[in-house]
Amino acid sequence: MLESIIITALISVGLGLVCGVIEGLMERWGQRSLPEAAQVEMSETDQQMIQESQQLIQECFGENATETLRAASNIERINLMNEFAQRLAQLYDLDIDVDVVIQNANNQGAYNWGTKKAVFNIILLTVDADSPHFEACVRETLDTIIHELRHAVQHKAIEQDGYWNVSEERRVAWANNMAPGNYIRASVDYKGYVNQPIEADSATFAAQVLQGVH
Amino acid sequence: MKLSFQEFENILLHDDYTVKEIRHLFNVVKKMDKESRLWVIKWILFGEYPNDEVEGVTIQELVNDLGYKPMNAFIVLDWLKTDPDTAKYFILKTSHSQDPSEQIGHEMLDFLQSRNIHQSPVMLEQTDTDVIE
Repeated sequence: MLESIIITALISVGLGLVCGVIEGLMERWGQRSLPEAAQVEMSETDQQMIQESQQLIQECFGENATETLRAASNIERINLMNEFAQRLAQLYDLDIDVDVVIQNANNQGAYNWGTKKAVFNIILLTVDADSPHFEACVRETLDTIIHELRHAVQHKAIEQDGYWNVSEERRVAWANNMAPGNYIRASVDYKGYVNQPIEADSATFAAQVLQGVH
Repeated sequence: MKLSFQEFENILLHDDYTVKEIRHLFNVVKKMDKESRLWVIKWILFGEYPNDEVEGVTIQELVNDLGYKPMNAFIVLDWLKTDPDTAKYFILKTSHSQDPSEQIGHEMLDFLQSRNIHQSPVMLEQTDTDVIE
C-alpha cells in the first residue's frame, strides 16, 4: 500500500522531468537517432551481443516494449525493468551488482567503477502512459541501462584478457581513456565527453541495440 | 579582438575546472569558427551572452534551463552549428556516466605500464599560441 502511494506521488516527478525545456526541444526536433557518422565500429562479438540484447528485450517486454510498459502499472514497470537489467548483466557475464531505484534525479543511472555496482533510476517510467513522450522515456531508460552495462563490459574486458574478444588495441584505448586525468567530464566539455573512446563506444552499442526496438 | 590564456584561465578558475581542463577548453575554443570564438571572447571579457539562436536554442536556455556551465554551453551551441544531428541527439539525453579515472585510474595506469605503454593525453594540450582571436 505504502509502495503504491509513493509510486503514485512520483508520477508527478516523472512528468516534471520530461516537461520544460527538454520537452520543448523534443517537440521542436522530434525523436532523434544517433547518426551513423557519429558511431564507432562494433566488432563481430559486439554485433552478436547486440542481437542477443535485442532478443532479450523481446523476451522481457514482448514485440513492443513501449506498449507493454504503457499498459503496465508503475509497480509492474519497475519489476519489468529490474528483470531486464538483471538478465542483461547475466547475458554479458558481468560480476557486478545491479539495482533499480526510483529517485527524484535527472540522471537515469550510472556504473560505479570502484564498487562495480550499476544503479538505474527509472523515474522516467513513472510518466503518464498517455504522455506524447512516453516512448522517448522508455527508450531513454533502456538506453541508459545498456549504456552503463557496456561500461561494465569495458571494465571487465580490461581486467580479463579474452573476455568479449576485445582487441588489444581497443583495450589499450579504453584503459588510456580511464587513466588519471584522461576522462573528459560531461560538465566540462559535452562534445568532448561523447566523442572520447569509452563514451563513443557505449553510446554506439546502446544505439545499435535499440535500433528496431519499439 | 583578442583573448589571452591568462584572461581565460582567470575566469574559468572560478568555475570548478582543473588547470588541465582549462587548457583543454582553451584549445577547444581555438578550433571553433570565428563567430563562436567571438561569443566566448565577449563572455570572458565583458560577461556578455550572445542573443543568437542556433537550431532554435540560445546560450541563455542552455545555461539557465538545461544547466550547462557557460563554457560548456558555448561548446554545445557551436556543436549545433557544425553537427546539428549529433548534437541534438545528445542534448536530449539526460544521463551522464561517472568519471572512471577518479575511481580506477591507477589500475588503468598499471595496465598500460605492464605493456610498456605511456599514458597519452585525451584532452587537448596547449599549442604554440596563447591567444584566441
